[in-house]
Amino acid sequence: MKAIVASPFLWPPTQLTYGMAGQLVSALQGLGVDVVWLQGLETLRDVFDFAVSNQPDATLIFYMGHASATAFLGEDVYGVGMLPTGDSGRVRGRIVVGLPACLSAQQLGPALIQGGVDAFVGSQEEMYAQWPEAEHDYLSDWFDYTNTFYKSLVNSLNGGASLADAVAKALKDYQDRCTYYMSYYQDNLDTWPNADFYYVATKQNRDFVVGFIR
Amino acid sequence: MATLVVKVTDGQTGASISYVHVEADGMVLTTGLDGSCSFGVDQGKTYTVKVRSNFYRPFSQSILVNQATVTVNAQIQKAILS
Repeated sequence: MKAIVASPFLWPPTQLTYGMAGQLVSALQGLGVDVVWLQGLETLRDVFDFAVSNQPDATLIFYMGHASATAFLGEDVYGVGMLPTGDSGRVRGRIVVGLPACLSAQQLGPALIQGGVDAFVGSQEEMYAQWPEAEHDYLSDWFDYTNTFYKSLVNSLNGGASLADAVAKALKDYQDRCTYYMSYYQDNLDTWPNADFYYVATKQNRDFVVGFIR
Repeated sequence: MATLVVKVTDGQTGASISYVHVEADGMVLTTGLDGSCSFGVDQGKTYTVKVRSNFYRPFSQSILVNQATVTVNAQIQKAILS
């Protein structure tokens, strides 16, 4: 199995998702996935298109960074972006995941599915970053629950599950992991000064991530 | 009585952020157009200031009010991926 992982890092808070991508790449390689990692300016549209067209066996396309309702933005946050709705044909037959990335399930996901993508996972709303704060390392929690999705998806596909089952299980594992951290933050609301924010952030990150299967 | 002033700015651009929720030990205010708000507080007491916005990293800081006017500069970072 081969994956293209795309992670910009110039526009805050993508410095954090870039670190998350580094962990994901290591985890994927540990699961036997051949990874092409596009970093920073390699997430501009032309470079991404070149990578996609030259890696026809990369069935997995994972994106971590800024997005809008109609595009994965990559480093081109003020332009058409790395993967806009009109480019759906370029990723036909692949599994595309934008996590964490804002809003992409609103229009980009359905457009990609209509254009021939086998599966799409993204969020219908804004997604929040998390930081290491003085009282607790919320950043590590964010890395953990997000990468739970990707690892679950690959494990299921490696195990021969159908695409629909693999996506459904990965979403459930992701949501369960988010819920675990929400409970953890709730238990510490009185002593961790930022737990209130991260409870809401994790809830939003959990509740609006959806999957589409063609 | 003393005054605790909280000034909220975008950590990347330096721009003032208005209409942000600010708490100081349970007292709640919203920043004005200049990105600041002022609490009437007791001199000599320590307060925990929290700044919360839908789009920014949370900010929390404890501050000792040791003079008539104390200012907290809350530079906050964008927290959403859009």
